[in-house]
Amino acid sequence: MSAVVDYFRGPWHIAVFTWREGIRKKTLVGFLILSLLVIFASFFMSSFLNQTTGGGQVETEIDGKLIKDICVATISIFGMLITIFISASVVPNEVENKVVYTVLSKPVRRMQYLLGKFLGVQMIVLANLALMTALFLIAIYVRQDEFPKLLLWSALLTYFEFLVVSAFTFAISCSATSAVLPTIGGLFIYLIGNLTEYLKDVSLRSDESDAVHAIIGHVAEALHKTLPNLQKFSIKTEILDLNPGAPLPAHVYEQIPNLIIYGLAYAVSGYVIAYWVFRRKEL
Amino acid sequence: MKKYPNLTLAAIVFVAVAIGSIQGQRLDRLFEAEAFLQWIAAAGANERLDMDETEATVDLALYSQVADATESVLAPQLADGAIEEGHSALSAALETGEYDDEIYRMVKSDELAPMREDFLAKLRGGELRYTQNLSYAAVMSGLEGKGSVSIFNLFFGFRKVAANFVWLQVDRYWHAGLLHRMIPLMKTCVLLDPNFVDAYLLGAWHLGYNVTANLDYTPYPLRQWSEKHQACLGDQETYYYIAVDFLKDGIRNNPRNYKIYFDLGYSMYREKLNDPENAVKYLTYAVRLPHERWVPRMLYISLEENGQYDKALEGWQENLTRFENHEVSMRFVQRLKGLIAERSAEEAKNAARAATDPSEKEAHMADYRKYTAEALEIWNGMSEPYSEARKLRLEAIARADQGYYLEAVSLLDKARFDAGSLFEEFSDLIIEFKLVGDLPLSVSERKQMIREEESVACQGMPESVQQERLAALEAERAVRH
Repeated sequence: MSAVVDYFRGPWHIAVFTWREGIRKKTLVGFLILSLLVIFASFFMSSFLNQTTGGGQVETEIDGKLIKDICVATISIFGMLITIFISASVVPNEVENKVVYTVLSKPVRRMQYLLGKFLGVQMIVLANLALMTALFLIAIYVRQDEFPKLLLWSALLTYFEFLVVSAFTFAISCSATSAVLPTIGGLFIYLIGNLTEYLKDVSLRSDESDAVHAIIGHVAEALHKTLPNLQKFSIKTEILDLNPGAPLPAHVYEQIPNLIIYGLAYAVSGYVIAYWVFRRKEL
Repeated sequence: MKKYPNLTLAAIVFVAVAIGSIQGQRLDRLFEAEAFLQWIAAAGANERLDMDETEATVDLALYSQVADATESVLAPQLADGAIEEGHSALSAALETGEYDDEIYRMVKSDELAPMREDFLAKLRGGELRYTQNLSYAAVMSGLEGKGSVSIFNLFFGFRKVAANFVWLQVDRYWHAGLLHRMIPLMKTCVLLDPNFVDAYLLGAWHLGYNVTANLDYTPYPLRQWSEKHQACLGDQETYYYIAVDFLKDGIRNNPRNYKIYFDLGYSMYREKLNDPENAVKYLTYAVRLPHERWVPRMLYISLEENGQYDKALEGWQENLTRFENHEVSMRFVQRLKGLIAERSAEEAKNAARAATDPSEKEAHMADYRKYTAEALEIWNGMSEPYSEARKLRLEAIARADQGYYLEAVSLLDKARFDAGSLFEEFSDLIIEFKLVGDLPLSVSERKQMIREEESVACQGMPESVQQERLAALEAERAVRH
């Protein structure tokens, strides 16, 4: 037991250090402030609709819906940007600053170092997500006078979506010497992750009678089955349409743990690829 | 690991990706089952409300198979009388959330697997009417030539936000007076977000009330027969029925939201289409779902307008037990008691007219006098324009029975202006008395008669329907005279 504790002590210190360093980054703070501003501004979005209701003659819940949808989108977009930037920069920055040499000269294995860095990234991502979600909760509570507990499920799924992107961006960052390439890579991962369904369309439309088409079709099918599909996490927005007073429907209950396992599996593969790349890196 | 690090790491990555891939396929199956469940809920709402759709024959055929397959499991679980005649146990079970888990279990089961596959094939082939929105996009891949996947992915999961911005554009068009541009955008809005309930409500309000505000009344001979709606449509009616169809789509996509049932029943069928029967039908469903406290009251008003006085009275009395000393309920209880007494008096009078045996005739007349006195007592106990007008009506009928038609007409003429809600009813009675008493009709009354005659036919109406309506009008007039 003590061996396990000893093994994780190093990564934990690195994680805490990464967290401290991360929260001081101006870019991240900028993104966070921007997202908080957008969430706050969603309160005023409904003022655009005042006239629709004939000066308040017709009572609607459109403003509540606007706040919900805009907040979920804001959390997803800014949360994703924060995730990509932090995941892309932690390792290359340390390589650039030569801090990594000092750390690795200590009795810390590369696996431990990387685990600490990855944990630190996740702590930052989680803290940002928690902050944005808390503000969203307050916004909804003030507007509708009810605690939107379904939002917590939505935030949980959003985190696992971030985790997948974070792991693969982290893997790219381990092979890079600056944060620029991994950041672009992370954005591409997010884009591709959302467009994986196209591959299924490509495979279904391929002409089996033509050899080249058939090969393209089979490759597309294989990629569709193996690449992570971030659209699967889109139930995070559907959840908010459910009745907040009623228990979660059986189909949602079944989907949530499966999505978590899905996210974890790809996150593990991303992290292992990161280690694979990092262990061969000449430092 | 130490001996073959690359191989070990490759193996770990392979296993993790394989788990992710298997999970991904498992999730696909779960999403497919959810889509099937969602479609069943839409088709079930359609069956429950008899919202027959001529364009949805494929949906109806498939739903009927699913309903048959689930009947044996669901029917024994439902309470007696829960299944309406001609309906399936599935549609009854879908009404509340009580059997959702059970239905979901069946939807995923092997017994329904062939139907589920059939559903997915038809969904991807674009054959199903009730799946024409983007909430099915997650399982729509392969929809030939429709590009559903690309539209869905274009929004990166933010299609609800996109729906909100489309709605802002609808609002802009409304204020710019570009009403014709609003309709396709409203449909786009609910295509993107089928759970956007307010878009259905406000959209139908725009269509039924605002768009039609500047449209003129279309005389029946200029109207077009609509086979789908079984009605003659003029300019206004065309928009009313677009609003009705829009709200019906809303019900299919949100079968547990009382607001859409309420707007369809009250705002459209009652207020615009003067169809109390359908108003009662949809308001009854609105009341069965979690609702605001004023919703049942609108149902009771519609029940009264539909001639279902006993049910309306029952409702108001129940309301009174829930909200003690509720003045409106007390007034309606009295009013309905008066109306029930008046109707009983009328039935007794008609029975007396039909009776050939003098003693039987006298018995019916005694009933007539008893019920009339009862009604009069109720109206005397109330002090409001409505009850005063009803009293004048009773007096007018008594005068007409004695042959004083002119006096009866003058009493009703006063009464109809005292109580605006009774204007139409009393105007019809005036025409009736004038015809029976051989008094000359005014120009507006003659016009009313012509409008009635014209209303039996419109352009494109099948001959059989025309004959049916003509016979109904003649029968109604015969009763009046």
